[in-house]
Amino acid sequence: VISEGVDIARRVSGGGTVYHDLGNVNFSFFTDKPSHCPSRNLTFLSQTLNDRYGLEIDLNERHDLFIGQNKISGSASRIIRTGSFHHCTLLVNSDLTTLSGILRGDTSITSVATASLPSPTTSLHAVLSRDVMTRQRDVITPSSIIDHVSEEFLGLYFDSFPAEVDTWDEECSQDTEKNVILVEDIPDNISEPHHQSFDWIFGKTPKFTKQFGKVRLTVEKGLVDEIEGFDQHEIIGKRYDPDEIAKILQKVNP
Amino acid sequence: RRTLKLLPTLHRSYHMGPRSHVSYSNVVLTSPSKRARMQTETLGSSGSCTMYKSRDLHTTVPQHSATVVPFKLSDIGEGIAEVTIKEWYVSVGDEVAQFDNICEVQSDKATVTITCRYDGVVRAVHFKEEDICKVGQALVDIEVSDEEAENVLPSTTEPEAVPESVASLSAAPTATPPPPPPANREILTTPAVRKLAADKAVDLSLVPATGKGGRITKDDLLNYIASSHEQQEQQEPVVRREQPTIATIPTAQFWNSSPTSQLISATQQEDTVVEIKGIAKVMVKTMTAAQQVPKFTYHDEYSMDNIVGLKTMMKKLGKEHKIKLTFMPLLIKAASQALTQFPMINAHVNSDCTQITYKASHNIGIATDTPHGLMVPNIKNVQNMSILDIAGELDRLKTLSENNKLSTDDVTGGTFSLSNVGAVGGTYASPMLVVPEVCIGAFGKIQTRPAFNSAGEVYASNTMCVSWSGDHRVLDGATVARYSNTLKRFLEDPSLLLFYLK
Repeated sequence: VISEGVDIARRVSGGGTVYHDLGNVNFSFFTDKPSHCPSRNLTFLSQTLNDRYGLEIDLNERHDLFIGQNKISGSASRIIRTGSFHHCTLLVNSDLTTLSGILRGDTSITSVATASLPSPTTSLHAVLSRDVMTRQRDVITPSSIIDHVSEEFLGLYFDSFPAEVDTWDEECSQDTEKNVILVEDIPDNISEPHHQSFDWIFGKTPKFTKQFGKVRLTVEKGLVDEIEGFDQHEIIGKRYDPDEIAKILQKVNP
Repeated sequence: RRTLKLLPTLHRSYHMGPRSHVSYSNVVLTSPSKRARMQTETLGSSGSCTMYKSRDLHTTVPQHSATVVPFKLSDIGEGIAEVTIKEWYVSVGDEVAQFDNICEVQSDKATVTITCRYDGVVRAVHFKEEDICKVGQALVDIEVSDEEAENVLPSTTEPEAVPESVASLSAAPTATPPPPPPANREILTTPAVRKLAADKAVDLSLVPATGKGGRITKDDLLNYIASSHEQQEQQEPVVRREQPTIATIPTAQFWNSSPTSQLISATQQEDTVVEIKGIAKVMVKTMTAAQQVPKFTYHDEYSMDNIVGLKTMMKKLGKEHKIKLTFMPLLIKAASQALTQFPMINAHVNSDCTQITYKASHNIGIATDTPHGLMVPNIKNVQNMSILDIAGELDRLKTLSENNKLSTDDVTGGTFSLSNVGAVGGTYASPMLVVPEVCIGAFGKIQTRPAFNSAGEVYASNTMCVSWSGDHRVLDGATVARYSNTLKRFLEDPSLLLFYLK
């Protein structure tokens, strides 16, 4: 991840690791708690795409979207007392080589964390390249998908088409109980430093152990907790950084 | 650019959540006010929540009248059966209030913040972080005042279930998105204005719009309402009123024969016209669809002597487990046990009747009479639940339906339905199918009737009439009759269920 220059962010909704680049579109569906229903959202999404582009996207009970045997979308959700959201990815024309390289697990790590269930992943473009209808690839782009899905969504729920909801004016804000802000204003309003901090991103990592040859490290909450087979304890209490640790071990046991 | 650019601040709510936060070093972080009242010391290792003790307790909770109740992980929906505890926000000795954050849990599909249901003091924490907790298990125990306890623990009284009239609601089709609201397509306005207009029973097509692009603003609506009130005051009262006060009462209450309904009194002077809206409107639609299915009905009588004989035991268990235990959970479990032998009864048929899906789970819908209308929430995976589990879930769904707070998950995904109309009264019924299910049963009232025992003597027997409706395109009478006989056998001798226990 580091060598590819890919950033790591941890989301509040939990679940498995996903890779985002500009070829991926994320959809987030915000509702009140009783209306939380990822299957409804995914059915809407897949049917909209199928109808518009002549695709055959299916969904499974794990809230994944598939074309044939290949996964093109994964989901996660967050539920609190006053509301919930469900969000999902959609790989349109992501770089699949980088994706598979990055999402490959490290077998020298053991942990009690919820096991991830990897599926062979593909993107819409990768599927369509096997198709005769290559013209579709020009039409199916992240921005055309965004436009089309939003239009369908607005038509379904706002009952007026075309609806131009490009600003949320004051009159509307007064009707909502919670603060409503524009997406552009998020960095100023949400406590950005918190979500970029080590403590948030790595500090809640479940306990795991990692083998470095004969040396075994136990890491808890992103910090090295215990070390077996190694005398120098300066590593304990420090942040888990595999490169640094490998260097220190090298110095002692070349 | 047509995309929606608003973002409710769920992240912020999450971030500012807990009242007191516990970290796993030797430092305990608590809110300043709590720190002033409590002194805490940690015992034992840093890994477990249950080790915290506090002095100077309960200054606000009277010590002589308190009960400790378990706060259980309730069904989160989405078929989630167990979760991992990710983070605790409370520890033993903490004072908690309703809606405080208790902990965060995670399944492979969702991360959920669990909030407290009661006011009280945490007396025990049952899991560590990274432990797995099953739905229905107690997360924490909370000491509540006795008044609160009464709300929490319903007393076990006469078995009265949650019944309804003969008609049943078909589940919303899960394969299609919800239909668009049936308003005039040319009206441009915000959802909030729409809601206000619906609440005031105003036809938006009559409201002059002054907003951008012909949009109806909130002021437009309010001005229209004000001016139309002025007009109405000047006119003679007419038989058909635009905004009769009665029309704002949920239409379903007109069909509800409960004694608390005071709507149509005998002294009503003139006809009242009410729009059929909301849940009542959905019922119109789904019953019309259900009527398209050729159905047959089959009736029988079950001897309920042995079930009624379990009443004492059920009362005792109900007290022990602090739940309301009626006959209905027993009937539901027995019905599920019988379904394992008749998978074709627990099935769905597609709309053009070209496919039958034998459903693996027994998601049993229970026709429920509520102040808002008929609802059919379903209990998921009855085949994996004990009778006590089912009783708890039935209670949960009943409470939610009374407050019209059932989730979409609660009312979709059903595979088989039951109606306990007998709790209201009656013998035989002719229930409508909950499309796309293929079978539904209705239980009548348990009545004392004369019957003959094996010695040919007359005795007072507890008899219950049972009615089944089946989709005759895919089920025949013999199959349903055999299913009914199987269920009858379980109910007439419940000890038989022992031998099928897994």
